[in-house]
Amino acid sequence: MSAVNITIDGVAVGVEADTTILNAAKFVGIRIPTLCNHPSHFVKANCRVCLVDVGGKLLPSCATKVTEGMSVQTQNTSVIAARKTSLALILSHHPMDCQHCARNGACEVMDLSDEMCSYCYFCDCVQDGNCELQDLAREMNVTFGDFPWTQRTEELDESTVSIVKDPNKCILCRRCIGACSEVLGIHAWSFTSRGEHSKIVPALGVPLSESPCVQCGQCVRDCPTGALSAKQQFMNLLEPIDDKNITVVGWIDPNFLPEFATLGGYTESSLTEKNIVAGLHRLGVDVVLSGADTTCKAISQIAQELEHRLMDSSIHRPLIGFSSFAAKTYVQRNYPELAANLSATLSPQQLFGEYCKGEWATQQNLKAENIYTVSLNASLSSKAEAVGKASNGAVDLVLTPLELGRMFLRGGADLKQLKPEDFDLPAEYSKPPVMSPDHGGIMIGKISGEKRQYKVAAAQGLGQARILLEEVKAGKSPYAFIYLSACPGEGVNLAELLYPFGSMSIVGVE
Amino acid sequence: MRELRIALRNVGNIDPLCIKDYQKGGGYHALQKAKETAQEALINEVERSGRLRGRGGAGFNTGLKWRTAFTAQDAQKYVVCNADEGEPGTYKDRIIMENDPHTLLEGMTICAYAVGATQAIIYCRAEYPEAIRILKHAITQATEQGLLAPVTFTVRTGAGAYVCGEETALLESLEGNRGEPRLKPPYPTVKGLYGKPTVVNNVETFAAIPMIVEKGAKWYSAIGSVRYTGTKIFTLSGDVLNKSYFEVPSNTTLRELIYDFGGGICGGRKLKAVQVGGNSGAFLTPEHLDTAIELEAMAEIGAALGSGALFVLDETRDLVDVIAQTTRFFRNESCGKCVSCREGTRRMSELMDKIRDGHGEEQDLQTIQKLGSYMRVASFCPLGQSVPIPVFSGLKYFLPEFEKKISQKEEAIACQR
Repeated sequence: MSAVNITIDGVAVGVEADTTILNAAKFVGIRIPTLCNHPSHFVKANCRVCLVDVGGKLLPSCATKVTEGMSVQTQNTSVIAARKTSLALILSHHPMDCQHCARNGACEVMDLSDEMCSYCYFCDCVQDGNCELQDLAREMNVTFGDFPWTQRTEELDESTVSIVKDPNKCILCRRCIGACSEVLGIHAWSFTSRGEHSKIVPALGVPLSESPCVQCGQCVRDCPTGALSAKQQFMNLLEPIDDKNITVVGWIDPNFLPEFATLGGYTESSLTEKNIVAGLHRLGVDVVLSGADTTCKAISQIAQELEHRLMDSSIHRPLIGFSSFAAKTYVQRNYPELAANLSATLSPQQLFGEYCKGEWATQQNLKAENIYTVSLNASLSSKAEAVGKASNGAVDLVLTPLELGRMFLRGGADLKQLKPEDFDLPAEYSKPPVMSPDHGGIMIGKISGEKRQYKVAAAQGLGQARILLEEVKAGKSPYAFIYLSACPGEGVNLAELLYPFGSMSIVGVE
Repeated sequence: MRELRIALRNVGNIDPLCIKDYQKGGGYHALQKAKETAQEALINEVERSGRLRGRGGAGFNTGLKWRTAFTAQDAQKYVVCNADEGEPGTYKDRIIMENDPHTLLEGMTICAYAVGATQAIIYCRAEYPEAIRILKHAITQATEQGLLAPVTFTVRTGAGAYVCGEETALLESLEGNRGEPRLKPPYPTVKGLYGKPTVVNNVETFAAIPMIVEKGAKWYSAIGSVRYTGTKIFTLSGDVLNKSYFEVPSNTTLRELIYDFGGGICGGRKLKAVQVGGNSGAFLTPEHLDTAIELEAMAEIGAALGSGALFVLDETRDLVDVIAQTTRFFRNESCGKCVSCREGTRRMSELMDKIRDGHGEEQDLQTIQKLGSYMRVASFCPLGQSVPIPVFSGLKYFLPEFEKKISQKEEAIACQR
């Protein structure tokens, strides 16, 4: 690629042709604010926040490619004024419940004092503190400006177990569509109506529960505001905590920590699972178990399944394993003919629930109904898994990192002050080594069986999963084992999973 | 004053359903002549025709557009006719398609030959069922005679969105997607329909092609003004006597159009304002009447030629109300893609309604200025960028009318006290 020379705010920089102004600016350490932009999606250029001045013309930096000799200004009065107006226009049509002072007087629990207000679990936006729109509004000191603030009273979509869609908070940036259609190929979200009546709705306007959505949660992760959020269920935990007859058992999924740390603004080294254990104890959770244990159990069970299949050629191949309930739902719904290929091993979360209410309850002399199991899980579909028929009530509640963060905040558990505490049961296993953090693409590996080598594959995201599944459907799959993640970077990876086989080697990413 | 009919030359003279009528008057001869010319030479000729500029509104150089598509290396290229004539008060394309469909087909076939396209599509608004019927009939006739080969013609209909008149939104619609503008660049001539090089021209532009090829660039470039040669079709509506269409040389003035061709204002009343170029055009005053109706002359007085619609308002009209309705139109027609247009048209329309209804305040005028200036520069496509044009012209030339509405409110408040 040939280099293109441009200046950004007077700084000369040579970048590859085809680079956007936004990325070129990043390269020289200049941050341009964005809202609809997402690095893994198509360019939308609809929020008009990343506008920059190119020779007196305002252009969206996310969509404009550099050209030789281009001179870009990312900060001048016209740029700032335009950005502020874009934000003001959005905010004038957006709920203001993230601004705590704004809810004073509007609160339905009228007897709450200002001081009590901060302990209130009810009336603020779920994304408060994690909202990109809020961040930008604060950064640029913008409210709805010259425009009258308009209240929106559209109905929420709470038809699924794990995802809540609040159309009133939607800024129509289409990142959810980018996530669902482009990254995952599910096409659950679409854009309908026009102008001010434009809406993001599940295809054909059905409730989300009737759409192709598998509740993987990628759209929730990519939504910049509170328009798409995980269903907030942490209120359910307060009662069992207060009930002295109930033993509350918490369980931390291995993937919970990274997302929790990111949301809370912790550096990875400053936070361990032990800090979370301390916080949970502080909230009143009686026992906290490590997810690494159950994950290893699950891994060895899958390995056994696989060994069994490799020895008996009459059983369907390949074996199909999942990193999440969403991936499993996807296959069950779209490839019913592959039912015999699916792994029968329970997910780590469900193994934990069954263990708690079975083996562990007996050991402890507790009745299963007096045990309340809480799974802390970053995977949104685990909420759906917990209430599913197959779950049989083994897991009572699933909390996302955001929910727990809010509980800690409101429950006075300051992880920075609390001393780390150990898990209540010593871990029997240690987490297997992670071999490849590579996300995206289908990972191909080989394992050695009794006589020969077998090919295995892992798909990062349902878009790639489809490729592998179509091969299986056509009877052309060269693999002995397929492992599917719903979203890129979710769950354990192939290397971890095949750890018991020892001789696993990664041969490439397709 | 007399009309000079080039694009409309056959209107009223031939039976649109009879191809022989068209051929009798020399129809399809230009196509034959074009095919005997080398592609590049043909494009040169179109370019030399005083630089024929697109008659859709933007006024882009047609020859240059063709040249880019010609230069693009691709086995498959498309020629698309923009017949999504959605601009209020504009009906020139309908007149051409209903009265002389073959001139459009001939113009498009010449273009297809010039750029090396084999597929031609006419994207016509669904509200023109008669035009669609006649076009389809004409395509069948011409195909039977083998006149259009090797080009295949299709007529496709829109679903009623104004924004699909914007060429990239039109292409999206043709592909079966939501009618929304695309990012430019790449331009359609490089990456258009289904990602292939595509020429998108207006009906009137194509209709002028056969005559340019027939009579030559020299002939055409001698007509009208130097900067915008040739003729332009105007459709007159509003308080003008002859609510009709006229094809005139581009050095004709607004005064000639309204008073000579249009027969003046109804009921002998005085002219208050004229909106040029459709809903997104500026409102001009009687002082501007001696301006020629060519692209640059209009731009010089802050107006745009646009689609060639003239909306005439007499002295009794409430301009604030008219502008409020204009703004409402855009509010309804914004596609909803970008914040600037989606939220901006809504706010602009609310502000105009507020002033029209006598609830306006002094600061509303400042907000309109601020919002309008923002929409001009920040909107994704020309739809959002044009919304402030009529509003700003209203504020510039008819400010007292706005102020009167606003003071009415202040008086009302004073009375209450």
